[in-house]
Amino acid sequence: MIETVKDSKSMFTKVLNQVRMLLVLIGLVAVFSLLSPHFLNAGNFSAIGLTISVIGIVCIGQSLALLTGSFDLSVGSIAGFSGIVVAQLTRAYGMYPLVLVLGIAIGAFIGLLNGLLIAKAKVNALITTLGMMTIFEGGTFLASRGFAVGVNTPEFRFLGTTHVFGVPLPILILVFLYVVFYLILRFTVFGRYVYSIGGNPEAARLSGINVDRIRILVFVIIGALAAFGGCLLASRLGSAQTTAGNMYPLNSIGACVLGGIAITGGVGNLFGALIGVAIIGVLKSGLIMINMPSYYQWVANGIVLILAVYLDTRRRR
Amino acid sequence: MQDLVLKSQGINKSFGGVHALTDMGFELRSGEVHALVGENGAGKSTYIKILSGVYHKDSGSNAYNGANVDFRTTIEARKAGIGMVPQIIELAPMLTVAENIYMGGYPSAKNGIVNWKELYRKAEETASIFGMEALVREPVGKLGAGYRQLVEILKALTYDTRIIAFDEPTAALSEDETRRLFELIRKLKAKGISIIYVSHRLDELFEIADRITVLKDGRVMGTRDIAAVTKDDIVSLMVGRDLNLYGEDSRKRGKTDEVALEVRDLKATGVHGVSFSVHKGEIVGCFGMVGSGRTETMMAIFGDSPLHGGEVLLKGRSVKIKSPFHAVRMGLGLVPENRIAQGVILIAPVKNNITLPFVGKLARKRGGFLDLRKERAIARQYIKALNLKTPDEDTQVSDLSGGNQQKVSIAKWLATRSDVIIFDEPTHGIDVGAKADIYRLLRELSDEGKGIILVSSELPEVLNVCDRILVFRDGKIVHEFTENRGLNEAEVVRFALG
Ligand SMILES: Nc1ncnc2c1ncn2[C@@H]1O[C@H](COP(=O)(O)OP(=O)(O)OP(=O)(O)O)[C@@H](O)[C@H]1O
Ligand SMILES: [Mg+2]
Repeated sequence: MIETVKDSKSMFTKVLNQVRMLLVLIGLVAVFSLLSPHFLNAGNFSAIGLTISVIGIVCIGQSLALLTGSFDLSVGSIAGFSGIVVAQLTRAYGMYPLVLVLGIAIGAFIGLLNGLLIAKAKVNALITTLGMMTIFEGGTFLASRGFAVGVNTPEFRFLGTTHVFGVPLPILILVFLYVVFYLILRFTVFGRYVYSIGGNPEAARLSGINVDRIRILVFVIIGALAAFGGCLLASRLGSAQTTAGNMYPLNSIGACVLGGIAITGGVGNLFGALIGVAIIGVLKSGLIMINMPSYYQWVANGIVLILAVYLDTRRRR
Repeated sequence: MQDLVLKSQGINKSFGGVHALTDMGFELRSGEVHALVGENGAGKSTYIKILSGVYHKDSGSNAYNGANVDFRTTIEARKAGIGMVPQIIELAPMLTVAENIYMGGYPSAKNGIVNWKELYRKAEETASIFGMEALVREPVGKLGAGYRQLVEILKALTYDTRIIAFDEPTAALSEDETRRLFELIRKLKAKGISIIYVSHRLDELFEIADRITVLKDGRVMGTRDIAAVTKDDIVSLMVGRDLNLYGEDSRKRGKTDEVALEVRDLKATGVHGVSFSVHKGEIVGCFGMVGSGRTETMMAIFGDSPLHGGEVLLKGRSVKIKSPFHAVRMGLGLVPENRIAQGVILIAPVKNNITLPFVGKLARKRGGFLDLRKERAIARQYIKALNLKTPDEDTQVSDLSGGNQQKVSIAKWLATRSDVIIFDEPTHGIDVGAKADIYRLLRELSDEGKGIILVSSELPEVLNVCDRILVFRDGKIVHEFTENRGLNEAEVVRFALG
């Protein structure tokens, strides 16, 4: 028998799944606020926002990869490499905005290589992006000879240090990008293709979707976003660090999965990913505030990653 | 009265707002084959899954050998002697046949170490039932659909089984394999094992079943001795009315002189020179045994496998179809043979599945943004046209019954309005009422001037619905019946067997 009225209980669990991680986030904030008197204030939240702004942007790309049933381990290297190249070029030639565009293009190009290898040459995503990660880790050192590249021109530092009505610009950029990509995923043809390919690539292909083309496009977007993230970080710090993106691959995957994006593809949304990122940011800041040695953050990150996947598996049962 | 092995009473089960079973009662005698039939979504699989520990009943009781049981896992049920052959094959493709048969409990494991020799010996013994000894070391993923189904059956036989529930076991089997399955079932029966047998192929019930229970919308409509009923009786119990399965051919236009699709000397893997044409408004049937190259031919036309030779013409123009992406844009549609792997996205809502092939059109002149209201309207229209049983268009396809999932796979090509639509075994796992709906739809499409190709292993369907019949064997068309009126089955089968 089919009933036309939706069951209120099943609607309730649906909504609960959506907000469960939000509750976890609020819970964490509450706990740290109790443990440290300095945690709960606007300044600290702004600081947390700044620290997650770059990894948050990387997570948008990672979400696209996961939703299509893939993943990208090279996001950190792309961010690091682009940051260094843009800093070097700015130091040598100035021409800042143009150089920034070039940096993003480099990221997009690396993404294109990833996409072509995965979609056309059928090399698996783990090997391709792991290989690309190593190549551009090397590239980063070659381009910098192992030293951080400092740039202090006002143009270069504009993106990372400007405040708008007291809110740091990177946070606004982060929010803006999330809104844009959320809308794209939810309401556009491209978004529908992304979910469909992650849901069943074979059925998508036989429905006439150019699966390879979408996969390639996804990796190009990931590369561009990661590169932009890397440049934003360099701009914020006033120097491009060689190890800037080291933790991005694992942290971004962890945050996305924590936010409800399934590792098996096709399920989840960006709102969740943003909450996942925020949880990781709050955890990091909170642990510092309660004077945990920084090694414990690594331990915490590992635990969070495993916990995220565990929850994901539970959800699907 | 014979002794009862199983007595179910007052079983209720709902999923969200869907009542899959309402106050269901069922009895199984020892050594009996008890058929369970009903429309798609009637609750057959749900009942079997409750018995075998996949789902949990909301209320009611299952008395097994006089004691109430409620299994928490399939393994628990299997150990107690209740085996199930599921509707959707759930094997590990990378593991060998033997490993799959004994999954969840290797018989020869001691201290956690598997005695492989012993395992394979036992597996060979079991597999010999279907003459599959030679295959026990093969990975399951390399086997065809028929063999995979047989492996599922062998899996259900490994413990000292008292009850085996078969959920549409013959949907993927060839005639020969079906015959062997029936032999097996008779042997099991002779040993006093009881069998629950779910099938949409009503004819075979008269061959194999002792009693039959009909479900409709989760309620039992009646239980009868098979000797006391006719096929029509069963159908009217199932559907709740008399049904004329193949309906009247009331097409106004039918076949035209214009050729929609032509194939000349097509060669591809498993296809050795196939030529035929489909006119606008014509329904062409492709009959043949499993492995005769029908599916391969269709997949090659659709651009899924590369051509080794020959050409494809659409509306008289030679075209190069390099991928399904091109095929769909040139006005071809294909309902694939395997709905789970190729036809639908299980984790996506019904509506997303229905609009998938043409979703780009829903965003035309809107900057890539989808017209969601239009999408919803289209989805509803086809849910209604196909009588698709779903709470709404947002329901995930994985929550639908098997037959309704198949309807989703069909609905999307109807909604795409392709010029030529290939249906590869579209009525597999579909109930009689829905079959009648699909035959009616095929005729409507033909009346609209579409070219239709119906690939089917069910001869009565081909004979009753198609204007013209192509018989395939060994990757070639061995005969063409240009008129189907007055054909008898034996004549067609003779060509198919060679
Ligand atoms: N896991 C599930 N979640 C939600 N609804 C379900 C689930 N499984 C089955 N249903 C619903 O329960 C009803 C009965 O489904 P069931 O699979 O038992 O039908 P069936 O008789 O086996 O049909 P078919 O012949 O198509 O296989 C259907 O309406 C189906 O949509
Ligand atoms: Mg079923």
